[in-house]
Amino acid sequence: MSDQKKDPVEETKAYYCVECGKCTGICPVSRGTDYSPRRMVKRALEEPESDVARDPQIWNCLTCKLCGGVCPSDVDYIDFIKMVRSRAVDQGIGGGCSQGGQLSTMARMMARDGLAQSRTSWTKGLDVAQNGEVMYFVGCLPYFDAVFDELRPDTLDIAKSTVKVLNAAGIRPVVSESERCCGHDLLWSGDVESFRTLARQNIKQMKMLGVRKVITSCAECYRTLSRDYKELGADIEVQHISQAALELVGQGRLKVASSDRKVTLHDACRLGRHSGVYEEPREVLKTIAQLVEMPRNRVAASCCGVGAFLMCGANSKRIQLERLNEAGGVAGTLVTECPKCQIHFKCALNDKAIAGPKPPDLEIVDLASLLARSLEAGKK
Amino acid sequence: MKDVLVIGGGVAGIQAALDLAEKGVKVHLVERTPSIGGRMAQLDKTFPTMDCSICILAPKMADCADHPNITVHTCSELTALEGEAGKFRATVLGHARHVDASKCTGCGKCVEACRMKGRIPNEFDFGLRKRGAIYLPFLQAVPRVMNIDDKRCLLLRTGKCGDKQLCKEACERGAIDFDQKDQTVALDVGAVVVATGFDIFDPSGMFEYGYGRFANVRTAMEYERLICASGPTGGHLEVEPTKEHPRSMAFIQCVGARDLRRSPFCCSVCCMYATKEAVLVKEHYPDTECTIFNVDMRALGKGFEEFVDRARDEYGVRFVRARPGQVTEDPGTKKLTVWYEDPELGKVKSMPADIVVLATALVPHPGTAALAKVLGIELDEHMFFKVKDPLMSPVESTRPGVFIAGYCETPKDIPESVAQASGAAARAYEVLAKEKGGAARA
Repeated sequence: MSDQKKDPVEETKAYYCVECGKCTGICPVSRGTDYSPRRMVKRALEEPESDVARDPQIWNCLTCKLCGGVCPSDVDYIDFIKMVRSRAVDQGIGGGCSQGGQLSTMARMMARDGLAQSRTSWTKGLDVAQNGEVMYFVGCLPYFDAVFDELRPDTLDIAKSTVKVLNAAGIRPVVSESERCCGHDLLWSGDVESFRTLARQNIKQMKMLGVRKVITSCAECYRTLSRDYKELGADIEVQHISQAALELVGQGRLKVASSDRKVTLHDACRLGRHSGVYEEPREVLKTIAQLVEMPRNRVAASCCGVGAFLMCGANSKRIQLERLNEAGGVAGTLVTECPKCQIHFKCALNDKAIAGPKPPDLEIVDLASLLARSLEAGKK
Repeated sequence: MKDVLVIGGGVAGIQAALDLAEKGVKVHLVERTPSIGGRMAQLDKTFPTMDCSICILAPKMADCADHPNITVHTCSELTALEGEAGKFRATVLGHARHVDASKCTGCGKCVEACRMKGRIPNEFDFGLRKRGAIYLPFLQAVPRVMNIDDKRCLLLRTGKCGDKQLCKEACERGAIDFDQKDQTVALDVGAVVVATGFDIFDPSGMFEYGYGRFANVRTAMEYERLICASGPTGGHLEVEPTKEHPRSMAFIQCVGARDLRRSPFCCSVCCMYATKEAVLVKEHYPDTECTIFNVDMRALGKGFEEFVDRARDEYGVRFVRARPGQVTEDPGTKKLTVWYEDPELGKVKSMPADIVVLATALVPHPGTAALAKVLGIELDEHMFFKVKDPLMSPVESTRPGVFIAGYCETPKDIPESVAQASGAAARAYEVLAKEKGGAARA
């Protein structure tokens, strides 16, 4: 049975909803708009004829899963939203892409057969393999540098850093010329068909290359490969770079240099609440820097303000500024574990249209980049 | 006639023991902690009559201790129950108090002398007050005998307490006995009444409410101690860090209860005690705003609905149909904000609160499974003791001769616990009477 045919209410047992509104009470979108997750569920339950998929509000959800963690009826609201969006797409309705459709178009292009890509030229000087058991799944990183040029997100640096870290531990990862977008954003925008095409292509490719273990430097790729690909039958071990690095440090294969730099960590929702990975990024950070926690951490962490590049606006900026101020209150460096969190935060940091007090002077850096720097520092 | 064993010295156990003792039966009342009294002793007032809880309970506790037919075994637990209805052999392990109960007068001189004085969180007040290694659990404790916490006493833990043992020196009656050993007693009993009550769900795992991180978020049981005249603050509610009395209070219901991932059942008493707690705030500070967040009001007992009406109409307690999604704290002022969905508007709303009180789930004790094994009785899916037939045998466990009373069977309030305890006592008596009659015929 495909997702489109699944009944969101039946699948998520949303009929257990007691309309307590706890979801709305914690939702970061509700706090800045009229949006109410409870009302969405109520509409699906009580007015099936009105078809909640036609409600433009379904595109407001960030799928950050804060609500899922507090629901007394254990309703997985973000799964509900995912299925409702897929129904909307079936009817030809889609959410607005904050980048004018550029990113989703690229992802859909990658779903085409016979696509010839040139996506490994950045590996020059790094030690990568054409095939083997361990793969580094790069994801959209090389594209982001081009799309978000003005923000200087250094996403390609995340990719290079990840390979550097693996190389330093004696690992020569596969970096594939035929890798395609993991499909995360399409899945969460309701385009399940394109997501599945991408997933099947990637799974097939991994099999052909003899890959058994995939390392990602992106929280979204991590969740998608480890959960959504698994549902499609993928039999691969998936590790986020923080998990791989911690393992390698523990085995004595990776030597890192500690510094007294004070850093704080922003838990990416895909790694944290979606996947339950909270401690490995912290443990590995503690080997290279002085980690201080923000008041909202781990399961309580705030969202970076945008999900799947849908809906970005004043409320997203409010969420981001709140988080940046929270980070600035405890440290001078904010470490991200997902390139998209970094892009969204840097966007808010660089936004000249934001009125009121300016966000604090923060360095925003990815965990992989920080790890690579600690290698160089170790060599000196 | 055979004796009866009652396990648990809360109001249900006390009632069962007194009922049986009055019938001329010898009762062994076994209590895990150093004093009988249980949860009722920790409450400030009872609903809906607003009686002082300990004022009602304390005379019953004293009756238990003084009754010629009741032997109270504190610091004790059941370790084995062999035999069958009418002829059980119970093994009870009594942990050493390290204080000779026959000599101690409860004068408290040892308490003043203890080097650990004021350094150990007091269980009775949920850590809101500190005690020493030798202590009286609470003011009205029965028996009024000091107790040494062997895990915290310097001498018992490390073998050394300065150059001399100050408590021993302070005691004029030579009651302190560091060599006292745990003791096991075997009791021949005809029937058993189990009344072990409940434990309190720890809400620190529910990040959304900030318990344990935010100074002004309290559990309802902590609140009971704080509003109590004999409590840690003498009955004054104090907002951290200013110590001023609260201007606005929020009560959040069903915290960990009616929650499919935690305790799915209704704890049955929280709607009423929250109403009572809000009324108490109003009686102390009439200008303080009180809001109770609950998804529905369960006021099923005698006079309960009227009590809720009075709370709303006469005292001005506000009831909002919602479960708040989050409590946030201003790190500087420690002021709280409660975020919830306004049920009428269908939009998120917030209200400032000086103190937030969480009506945490009341759950079976963590030791329930082990006790059930010792007793040879079954548990239900929520770890409450199972009754043979909830309709027609609501006090009989799944083992003949073992009866159940109070919250440990299923959530219930004080009057229901007392009624069930009297029922269990009557059924236990039946077993003894049958046994006696049988013996006579033989």
